[in-house]
Amino acid sequence: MWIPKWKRDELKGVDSPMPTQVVSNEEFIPRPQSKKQKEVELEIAKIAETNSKKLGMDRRSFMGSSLGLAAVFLAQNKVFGNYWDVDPEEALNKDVYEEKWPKSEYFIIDVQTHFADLPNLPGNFAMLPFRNMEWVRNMGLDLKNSPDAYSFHNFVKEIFFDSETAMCVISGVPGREIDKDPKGKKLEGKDRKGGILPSWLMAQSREQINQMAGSQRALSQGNCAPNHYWDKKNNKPDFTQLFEQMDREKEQYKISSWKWYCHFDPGRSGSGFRLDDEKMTYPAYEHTRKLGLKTISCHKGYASQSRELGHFAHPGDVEKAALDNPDLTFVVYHSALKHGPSEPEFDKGGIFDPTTGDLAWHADLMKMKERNPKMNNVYPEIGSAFGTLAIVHPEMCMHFLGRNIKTYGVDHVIWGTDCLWWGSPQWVIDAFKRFQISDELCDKFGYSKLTKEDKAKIFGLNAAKIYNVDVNEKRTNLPKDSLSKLKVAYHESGGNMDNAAFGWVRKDV
Amino acid sequence: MRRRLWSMVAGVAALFFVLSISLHPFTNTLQADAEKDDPTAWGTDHINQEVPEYTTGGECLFCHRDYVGPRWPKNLHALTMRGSTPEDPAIQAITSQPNGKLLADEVTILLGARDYVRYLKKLPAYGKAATLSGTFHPKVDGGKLDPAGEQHWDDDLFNNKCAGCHATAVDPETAGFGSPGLDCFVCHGIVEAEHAGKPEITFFSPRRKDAPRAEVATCSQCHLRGGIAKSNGRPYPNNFVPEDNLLRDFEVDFSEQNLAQMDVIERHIFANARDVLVGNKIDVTCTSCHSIHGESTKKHTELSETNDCKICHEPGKAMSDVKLPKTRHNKTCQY
Repeated sequence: MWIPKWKRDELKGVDSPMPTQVVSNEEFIPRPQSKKQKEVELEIAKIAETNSKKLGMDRRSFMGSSLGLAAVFLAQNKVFGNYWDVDPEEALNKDVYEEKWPKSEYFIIDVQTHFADLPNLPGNFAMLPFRNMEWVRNMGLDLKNSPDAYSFHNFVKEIFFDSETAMCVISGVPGREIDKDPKGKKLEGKDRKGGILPSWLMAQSREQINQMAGSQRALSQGNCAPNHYWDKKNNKPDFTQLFEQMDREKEQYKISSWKWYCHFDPGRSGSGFRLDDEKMTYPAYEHTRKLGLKTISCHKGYASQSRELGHFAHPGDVEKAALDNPDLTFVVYHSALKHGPSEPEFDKGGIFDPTTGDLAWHADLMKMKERNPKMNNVYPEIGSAFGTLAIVHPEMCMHFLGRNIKTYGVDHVIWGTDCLWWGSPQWVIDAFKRFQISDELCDKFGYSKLTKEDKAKIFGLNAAKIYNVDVNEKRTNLPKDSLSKLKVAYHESGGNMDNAAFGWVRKDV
Repeated sequence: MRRRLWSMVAGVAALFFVLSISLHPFTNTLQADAEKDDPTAWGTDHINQEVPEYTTGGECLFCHRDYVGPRWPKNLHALTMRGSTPEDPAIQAITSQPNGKLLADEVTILLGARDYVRYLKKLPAYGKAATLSGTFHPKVDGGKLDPAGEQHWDDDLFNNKCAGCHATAVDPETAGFGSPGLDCFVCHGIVEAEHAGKPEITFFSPRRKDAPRAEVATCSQCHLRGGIAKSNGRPYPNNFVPEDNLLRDFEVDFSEQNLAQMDVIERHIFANARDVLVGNKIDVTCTSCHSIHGESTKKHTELSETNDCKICHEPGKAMSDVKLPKTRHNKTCQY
């Protein structure tokens, strides 16, 4: 027997910003809640019940606040072990939380944020799977998954109002734009197509945010990649069309970086492409230079959603490309982690080796730096990988982060979250603030304990260098901009993170 | 005079309007009758046209990663062309031949999986691949290459004979393919981004009721083996796009005589396609029994008994006692 998750939670009195069981989007049968998940849920409910009563708050307001997040980390610690730096007082007293984790402490630039342009969606149809994915439910996140949840206006709310993110880079989702219709008429806006988050839409949305803020809060990327326009007659990239689109994205869309997916083929080239392909990709680097751009952000790892082109997501092509193009910056998204917690075998042998700390594909990215200690233009980004591993498998996460820092240096690790696929990034931010690498792993593998200075670099100072952001100027002026004022008004009027989920769960659990 | 002229014009216009209203159901009926009598009358076609713009599978799976993603790489429809690996028994069979290592290194794609495997290498031209002369038989003598010994490459065979059903978006002029294997486009056709909020606009969406003839035509583009495209003589349809009328250009022998010499699997496909596409019997279609992404035929047990059941099940015998062929042969597919 199935029951809507919200109804089940209402009946059982559960209201958690983190998942306590698998929720289905009607396409698969939800897994029963595990014993430990049940324990976490009960513990969260217990803390919420006790603390909200003590504070004279209703439970929903409690769980939507920083107190609720602290309650979740406390419950996780109780069930899974002491992975999180959280004091029981933080779930009782906002002042303790704010004193320990002051909001102005870090300047946060999230280089991997997305939304989807899916207007006029009917009723409760959830069209993107992210927030309802099985592993998301398993790790305790309890996110709203209505169509509206992925929309632009919710993007602004969840990135800027519900989280501490100061600036974001609107990051591309694979797709290519069509410049002209079959009759040769130049296309604009929606007619250019380009998937669910095309370059023109990223640029348009960036402008909306910055105009609303009265300052630069958002940057945007461009999707145009070397295999997007194909000369079928000669079976090679159509460089004329490619360069025209690259020009358009720089000049008209004012992009700050490319976002490439080597394992996607929207141009029907018949294959993916490699970053180190001298004939196909190097001309695109050359044109990038001409345009005055220098950052190539590239999705690596997480290849299971691709069909037969998944091997192009391996980072093996980064080394030569980076060495041959030392003036360009290569931001390797997801730090090339091959498997995420959405895959059932993600922590098994061959994928994770606890004796060496090797994670599939991520280890290859590390080894190329070990081979080339002077290669300083490669930056591992941690979107999706950090947040999900931290909650699902803290030991893997310690290796992931510890090795990134040990190998590439703390000044090369870049903050990204992949939100709002995973809801407001605040839970990932809180998780990173509280995350620490154990003494045991530091001793055994030579990792360093994470200091506040390290976290500040990762949270935003490193990305600021890549994107030429003057952090001191921003720290002075952003608090005075319109977005900051709106945020204050939003919170004063009772604005809170929304913990409601609309999937289906089993009634008998 | 002018007023009289205007009133005449208005009168003629009114008469035309009334006639068109009153004749509308009649003309509709005529059209429906014509379509019933002529199985090529309905639908569109893309014969000899440019392959339309379509969304490639990687993009589709960006969103559909949750349900379709994990299943699709294992689905037989996705394995019509697959990358070769040194561990594959078919590659090992080639490697064990004299000078086989060099040959095996050339092979980049394998065709088929269960009973017969062919070897392909990509050619420099767009969407072109060459086929090796030998076929690997996984179930014969623990895996046998036939003929063994010296091999040669055929640069024309794959594109002219196989590509239409093993690859996606085959250009009618060059026979070059757009994507290896069967991409989402093969069955779902042209899908607009708006389908995310309106799933019913997608062909073969669970939330949409497709016309039975369009549905069966889509499966039949590959499963009616032996048909010939009249426009170019190739054994696969000319630029078929879901919702096209397959029989407008694809000539198929639906005669009893032809069906009688087929194995039961082939025969049930032809019989059902004939019923729906020619006979306009629309009560049972491919998806009445087959779940494509789920790779299941469980639904067929829920159908009420018809004469078609006798193609595979014998009266008086257990339902599990079906007349499935032990080995399968097909002239079109050269095995």
